[in-house]
Amino acid sequence: MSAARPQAAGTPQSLALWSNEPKRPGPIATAMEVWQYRRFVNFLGAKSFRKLYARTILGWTWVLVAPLFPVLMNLLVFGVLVGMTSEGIPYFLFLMVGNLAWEFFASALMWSTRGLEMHRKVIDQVYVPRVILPIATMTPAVFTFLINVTVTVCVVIYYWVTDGTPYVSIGWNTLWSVASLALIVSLVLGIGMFTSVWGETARDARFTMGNAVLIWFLMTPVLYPTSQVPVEYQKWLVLNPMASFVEAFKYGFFGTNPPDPMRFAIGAAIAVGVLAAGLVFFAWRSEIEETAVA
Amino acid sequence: MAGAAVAVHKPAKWVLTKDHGFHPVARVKEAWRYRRLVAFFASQAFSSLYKKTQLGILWVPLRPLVPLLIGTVVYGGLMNIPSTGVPYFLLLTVGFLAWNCFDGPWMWGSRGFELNRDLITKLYFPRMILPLSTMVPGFVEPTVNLAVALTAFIYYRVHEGVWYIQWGPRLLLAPLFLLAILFLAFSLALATSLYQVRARDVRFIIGYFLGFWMYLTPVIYPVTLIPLQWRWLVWFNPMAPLVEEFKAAIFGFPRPPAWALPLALCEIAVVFAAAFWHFHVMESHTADKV
Repeated sequence: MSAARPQAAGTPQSLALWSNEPKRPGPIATAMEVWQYRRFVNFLGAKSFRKLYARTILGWTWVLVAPLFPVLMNLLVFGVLVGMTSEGIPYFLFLMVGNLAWEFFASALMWSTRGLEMHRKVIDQVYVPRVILPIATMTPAVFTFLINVTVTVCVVIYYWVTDGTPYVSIGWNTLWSVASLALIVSLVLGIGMFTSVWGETARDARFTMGNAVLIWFLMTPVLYPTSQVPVEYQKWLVLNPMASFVEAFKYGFFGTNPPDPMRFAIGAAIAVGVLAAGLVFFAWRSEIEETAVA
Repeated sequence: MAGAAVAVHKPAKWVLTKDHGFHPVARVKEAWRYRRLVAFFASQAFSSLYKKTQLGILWVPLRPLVPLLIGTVVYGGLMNIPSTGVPYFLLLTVGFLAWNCFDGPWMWGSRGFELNRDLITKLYFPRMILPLSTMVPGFVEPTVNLAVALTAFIYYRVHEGVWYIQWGPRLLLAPLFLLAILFLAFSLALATSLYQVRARDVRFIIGYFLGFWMYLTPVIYPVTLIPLQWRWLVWFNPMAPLVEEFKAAIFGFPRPPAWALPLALCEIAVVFAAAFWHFHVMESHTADKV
């Protein structure tokens, strides 16, 4: 590793930086260690990508195309056939923005669940702080998100030209989008800490999460606006942090239908709590695994 | 002992010779001689369904239940799709039973070469066996759907006192429609398995394709939902008359127009002939290029 850092090569400090020493316990030491190994995020992220589209002819092009099919399908079924209402915004745009937040959550969750299983060979051969694996495998989800953002911008421009109004209002309300994205990351990582440990040895984790994400999707107001949820079920939405995040994310874009701040705060507390619990669980499991190998 | 060994081997019968020209009957006869391989490849593909899981074989009946439940809630509950006199759950289960004879077997059969990549470069056997035998894991979903449908029929008989099954001679035709659907799946798998071994793209494309195809076929909705002036168009999709005939045979719904089923069968025959011939041209190539 020291050879890869030419500016520091040969100096005693750089040697000390990469020497093997007993792992320091505690969350701060682990966070520092993760930062030290940050380049592995690129490496493992690229590896996940290669595995996803290995032995295909289109290769990278799939990354661009694949996120669009589910949206088009939902547009066809729920927008055209069902004629779902969308609070005065064209349904396609409404769906794209909701999908932006949801798809990031869903694909990041599926990927981080596979983190340890996909890169087991790497951890067998070199020392990497294990917690980096579920984080790094989220990379494809980030790319999917960027593609979806690009498509959404095109859709906004289309409506701007045809309808004369972009429907989007960017301003202080956009902070809600940023905040909900950050909380989604925290929620995904929290859940991923549990499921990746489970998924390392059992494919059950993938099957279960696949079905759970599908059911969760239908319970989250992505295809339909929150106002469409029957009144007697509205109070249960508080239990689903993703409902608050998707709602706040949409508010950040459109500036209409502000989210319920109390519900958002509870969602945020759940997300942060899950992340904390996940990190503690993961640290405990890693310690067991690492001592077992040694 | 020696006599028995000679009798078992029958050496003259197993000489490998170069195949000149296109002999479809000889092809099928040859595949029949190797029929015992079907069980081998099928069991291999089947066990890959639940390899490395904690629940093991329990996943096999569990997984098909989720789409049924979600479908009932979303299509029947939220979207309120009409179900022409039978409970929506039954309509959906019977529709999925027919549709899953198509999508699962096609997807799995298409993986025939890909899953046995190592063997085809080393051994000779009629390659047609591969897409045929890897279709087997795809039979799980229709089987589970059938069990669910039977349970639901009995449930409604007990609770509502109504048999939603139309008892009669037409019911005997129902399995034949499923066979026709399976045959279409096999024909398509023959063609696509050749490409899938070289390009995994094929699998993604088939997946998306099937997603759209299902909405074009009256699976989750009754065909009467389509306006009358457009309905004739639906019957050109070979899956539509088969699924609709299947539902008609079970529930006693009005049947599709008389020309629809023969048209579908002709389409399937054309697809099979084209796929079989294409398979014949390509298979030796493909084995070399894996």
